Amino acid sequence: MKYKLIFLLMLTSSVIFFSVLVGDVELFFILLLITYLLLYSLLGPYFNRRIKSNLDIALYLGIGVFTVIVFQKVLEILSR
Amino acid sequence: MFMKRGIDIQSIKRVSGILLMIFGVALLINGYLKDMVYLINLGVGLVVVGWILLIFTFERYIEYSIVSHVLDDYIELVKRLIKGLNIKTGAVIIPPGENLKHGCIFLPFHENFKVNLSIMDDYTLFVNSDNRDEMGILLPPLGRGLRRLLKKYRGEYSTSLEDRDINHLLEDLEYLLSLLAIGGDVKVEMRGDEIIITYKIGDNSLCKRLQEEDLCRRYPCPVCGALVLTVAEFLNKVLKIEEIKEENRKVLIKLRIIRDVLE
Repeated sequence: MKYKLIFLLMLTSSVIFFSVLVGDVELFFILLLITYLLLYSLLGPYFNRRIKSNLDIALYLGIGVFTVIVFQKVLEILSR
Repeated sequence: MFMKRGIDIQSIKRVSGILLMIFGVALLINGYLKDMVYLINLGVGLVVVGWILLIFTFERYIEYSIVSHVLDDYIELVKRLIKGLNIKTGAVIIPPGENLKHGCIFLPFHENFKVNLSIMDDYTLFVNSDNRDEMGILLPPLGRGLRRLLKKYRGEYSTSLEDRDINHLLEDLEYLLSLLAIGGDVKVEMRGDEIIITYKIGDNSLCKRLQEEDLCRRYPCPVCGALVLTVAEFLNKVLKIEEIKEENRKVLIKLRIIRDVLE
């Protein structure tokens, strides 16, 4: 339980911190994804298999959105 | 009290997760319409946090369902014994005592049975006696391990038998269910020699399997077994299982105190 609580507390505090400081949605999303990856790699081994597979879905979705952001940026640079 | 708190915490977590997600979406839409980046960021963040909170709440009963499958082979063995020996009476729960240190389940061969504790001990499987009414098989009940776990977490009773009231028993049963996160809402009624226990179970897959084979009454599942053993130990009485019924995740256990016990 305590690892889940740490995970949630750190994620929530980083969400509040980044949303106040970052004035760009894409940058916010990337920072959130990095925080999520960091927390997942640190605390993931303490979660059971079912929770991990559900967290993986969130991770893959995040990576998917990240890929879309990267493609958008690439297209933006190429169109200049 | 403990169980109610346990259930409430889980449902509160789920509701908060859903509310966070709804609030996040509302902030996201509001931020998009008003062109406020901070609100959009906060909205996305809250949706993610709410989702993860929901993920963390959907992990209950998994362990119990795995345990119930692990027990399948043992239940199959007991089922064969019961069918082979043509046992038709309900099981008799013997509380922990001098001979049987952890309590046992006695399956008498005849309907007009008698319980003779002096011929039973921890190593007895077949109870042999000159009196045919005292014959039967002695098995460890499935919930005995859970009962031991409860003792480990909860400790032994500090009060004497005379000072215990039904609230102690209720608290014990609720604590057992909440500790294992398998159910709740326990009620115990005592009408003379008859004891009626009702509770809600989270995972009723094993109940269904046992009910199909009419095994519940003769060899209860780990949850019912642990509850029945707890009641027997609390009252320090030999109990007969009259009926175990499960409907819509609500389990009803009818027990009867056996007064005529040879010690």
